[in-house]
Amino acid sequence: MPSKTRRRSAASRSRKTRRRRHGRSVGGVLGRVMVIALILTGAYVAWLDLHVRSQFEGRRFSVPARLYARPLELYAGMRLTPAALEETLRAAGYQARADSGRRATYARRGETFDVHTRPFPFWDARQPALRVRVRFGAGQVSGVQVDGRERPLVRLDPALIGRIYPGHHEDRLLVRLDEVPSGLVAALLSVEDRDFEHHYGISPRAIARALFANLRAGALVQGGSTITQQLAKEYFLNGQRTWGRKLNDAVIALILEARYDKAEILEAYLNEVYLGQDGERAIHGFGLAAHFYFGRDLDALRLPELALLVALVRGPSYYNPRRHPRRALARRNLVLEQMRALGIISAARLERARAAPLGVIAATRARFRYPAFIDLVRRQLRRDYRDEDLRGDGLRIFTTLDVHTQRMAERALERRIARLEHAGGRRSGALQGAVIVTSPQSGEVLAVVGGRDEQRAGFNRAIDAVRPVGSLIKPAVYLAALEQPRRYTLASPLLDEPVAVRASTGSVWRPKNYDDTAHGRTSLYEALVKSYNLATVRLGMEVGLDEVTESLRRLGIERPLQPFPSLLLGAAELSPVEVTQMYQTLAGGGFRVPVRAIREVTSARGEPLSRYPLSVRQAFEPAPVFVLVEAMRGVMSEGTGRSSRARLGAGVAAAGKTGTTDGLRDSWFAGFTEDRLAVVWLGHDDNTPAGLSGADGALQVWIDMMKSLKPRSLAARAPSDVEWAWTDLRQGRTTRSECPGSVRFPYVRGSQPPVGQCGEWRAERVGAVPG
Amino acid sequence: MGAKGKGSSQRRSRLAALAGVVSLVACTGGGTPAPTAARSTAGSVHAGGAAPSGTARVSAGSEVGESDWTATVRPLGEPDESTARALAGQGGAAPAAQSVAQSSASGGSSRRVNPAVVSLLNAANAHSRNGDHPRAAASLERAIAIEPDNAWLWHRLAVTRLAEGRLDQAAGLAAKSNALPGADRGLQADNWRIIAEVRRRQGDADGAAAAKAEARRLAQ
Repeated sequence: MPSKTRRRSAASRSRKTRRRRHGRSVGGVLGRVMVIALILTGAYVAWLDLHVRSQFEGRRFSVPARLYARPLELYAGMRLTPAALEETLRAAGYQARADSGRRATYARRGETFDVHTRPFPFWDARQPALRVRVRFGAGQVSGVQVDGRERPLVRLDPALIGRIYPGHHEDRLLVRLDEVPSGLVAALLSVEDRDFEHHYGISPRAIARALFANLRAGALVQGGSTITQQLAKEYFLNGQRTWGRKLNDAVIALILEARYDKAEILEAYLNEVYLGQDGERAIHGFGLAAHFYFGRDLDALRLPELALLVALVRGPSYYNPRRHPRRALARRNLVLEQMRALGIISAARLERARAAPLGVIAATRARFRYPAFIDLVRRQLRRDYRDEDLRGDGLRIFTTLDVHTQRMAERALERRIARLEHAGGRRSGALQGAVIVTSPQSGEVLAVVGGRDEQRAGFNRAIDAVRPVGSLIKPAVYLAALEQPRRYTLASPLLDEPVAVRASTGSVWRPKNYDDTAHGRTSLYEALVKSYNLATVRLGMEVGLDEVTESLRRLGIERPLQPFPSLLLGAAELSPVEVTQMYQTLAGGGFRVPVRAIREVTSARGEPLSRYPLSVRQAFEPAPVFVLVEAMRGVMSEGTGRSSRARLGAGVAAAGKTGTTDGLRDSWFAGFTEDRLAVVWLGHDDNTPAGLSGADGALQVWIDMMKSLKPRSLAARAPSDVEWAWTDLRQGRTTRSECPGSVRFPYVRGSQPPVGQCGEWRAERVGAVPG
Repeated sequence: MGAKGKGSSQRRSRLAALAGVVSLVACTGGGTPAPTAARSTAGSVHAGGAAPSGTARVSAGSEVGESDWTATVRPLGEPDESTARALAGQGGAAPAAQSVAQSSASGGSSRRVNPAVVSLLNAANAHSRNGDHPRAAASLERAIAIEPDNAWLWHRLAVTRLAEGRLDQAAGLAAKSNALPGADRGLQADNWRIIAEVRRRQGDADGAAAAKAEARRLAQ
């Protein structure tokens, strides 16, 4: 033995000497490799841990942002129909009952409504549940009472119109573990993870048992993945089922179990697990799945229904109860039998549950009823919020949507398009359209329709259809002129004669009129009202393309526009929402109000985070804008929009402008009354001719919608520096009221033309005509 | 969700063990657990509730100070009483309520003061007295939604924005109020005083003087 020891020590000595001699030994290299491997593994685990935590903690409390419509403000004297109130209540989920004993119900008796509201945390005040009586009379609200006493004003709790999960099409109705029916958890654990309470994230016993069960059954009846592993899989969604991924999931499961307790993991799982697909919307979590499949809250479901939801965990598409009811039923019953086998339910209960039908409701898309409007909200939010800011904490977003206006806009577009297709013998389904409705003074968006079938989300034409606007641009040209009142008034003579404009590129542009005829001598007023192209081009070139471009910019068009001559006839391509901004400034008397779809954003508890306040900026002097808008009334009474006068009634004054583009590709109308501004576009998505002028198409949609909204007549609010004068347009002179052919016209103070002759007028007396 | 702190020490020890186990599994050569992994995973701190950053815009701006502006603009008076008196047709209404009545009356030929607007205006005045300008502004915006052509309401909103220090908005709203037909000369003068104050604070002395002159002309 001593010799051995000696030998070993000798060997070790010799190794040491070798090491010393060679500098680097095998053991040293191995040690370094091990250290590097340790560091790399450690770094990998640390990275996974970070990722897991961000996933788990980022989502644990993450409730989608909730979007609300505008709350209805009820007061005596308000213009509202009983039908509109009823529609608004229903949109907010109110149920019609014989008596309004419960919250969120209403009882209607003729023109009297008893409404029992929900409590609601408005950002500026918390409102308790109220018993409100609303009476109607003479087309308006005649009185509002709360608990039998008259109130000047009552705000109804607004309709929940959608939820936002930015970045991906996900939706959730979060459930808390203590709200989840115990039967669900029991069913889930009995088929998916019996050892859940005891394992550390992975369960060798479960794997062995699954292997055995599957071998015995000759099919995949059990999986070996724990609930925690399945949650890990949801967090790192990627379809591959490789061993590498399984190992990864297992490590994540271990991290999850190390960091969080069982209740937290189970709750996260219940809200995370993928349970179905609704178009492009993924159904995650049992709360949402309960609504998606049964139309009810999770805690209102009974055992067979809960068992079906658990059955779906294994394969929501394979066991889709709507598509494969037999498979789904068999799987559901398997879940029930497992529960019986584990002694969770009695034999009698099993039999009753097995006999129950699936009970799945027909698929509905009712949850996303305002896709185009919500799309606009999302884009406006994106300017101010990062996606991750929106994701957390269940923000409440108070929007400007008016559900009644939205409904009327959708209906008008859908029905008019169907009529136009039917009457014109057009190919069916090709004609598309978009509508935006706002409040003229505040710029609040009341409705957005992104296509003829608004219930189906898709291409949002209200925002994304960027098309030539045609004559819709003309008010900008005329406003640029009227801003120089010493040079131009509505009575200024214009020449509607062929014109050739040489562009800087050398090419010559020869515009034409819509009816292909030149109208000769005309006035600025008539040229706008009848939408004469030749006169407009002459005027625009005289005023200057830069002036016109600048006028568009001041009206609120932010898109850079090239000052080409064709701009004067609307070669510029704009979207309906951009046109809305432009006309908003005209309706606002030259004050620019941003078109906005959001009023405020609050936290889940109602604390204000951002306000989108009413803000105005003066972009023009009020007087020239007023004069222009008066001419735009003429469009509606005697110009290209005159069909509105007969259909809307002479008692409802409005101002607007039609727009038609080359080959009848785009049909536009933009116009406003006292309380509604609306822009309508019709056309084909593929830009082929739709065969409609602005007056034949878009204007008709506009009129249909306005009729149903019963708008207030546009008031004439002349600024103090506007003066009225009787005018004979044919001679471009002021006259007296008794002179035949004279009309009262507004002028910016001091810009009235000289006094002309009363009565018969001869053309040769007219002075120089610009051109 | 369960409390975060619950069983945290237990979990942390489990985590440290896990880190060790994983390291051992991965590094077939064995050896001591990598200190980096143990530190980085076990020594972590839960981030606090992630509030959306940069979103708290409801800022209480600078209070209207001792500038000559406050002295010249009509006082809010005791609005709750005065507006009620104006409604009831009693005498002695303060200027605030008179203006509402005037604006409302001149906006439409024979329109009466809308009680809904009055109640919102009273709420706005109460918020303003408490220095809660965002809520005051919200009430005024609701009132404007009911009566968009009421010049007095736009003026009141301009006053609120000025109190918040939102100068551009104050000037825009004052100009808007002036453009509405209901704005009598007195109200127009008040609006010009707001514009003058905005220009003064923005360092535009000449513009402020011009606006002040306009206010004086209208007040005569």
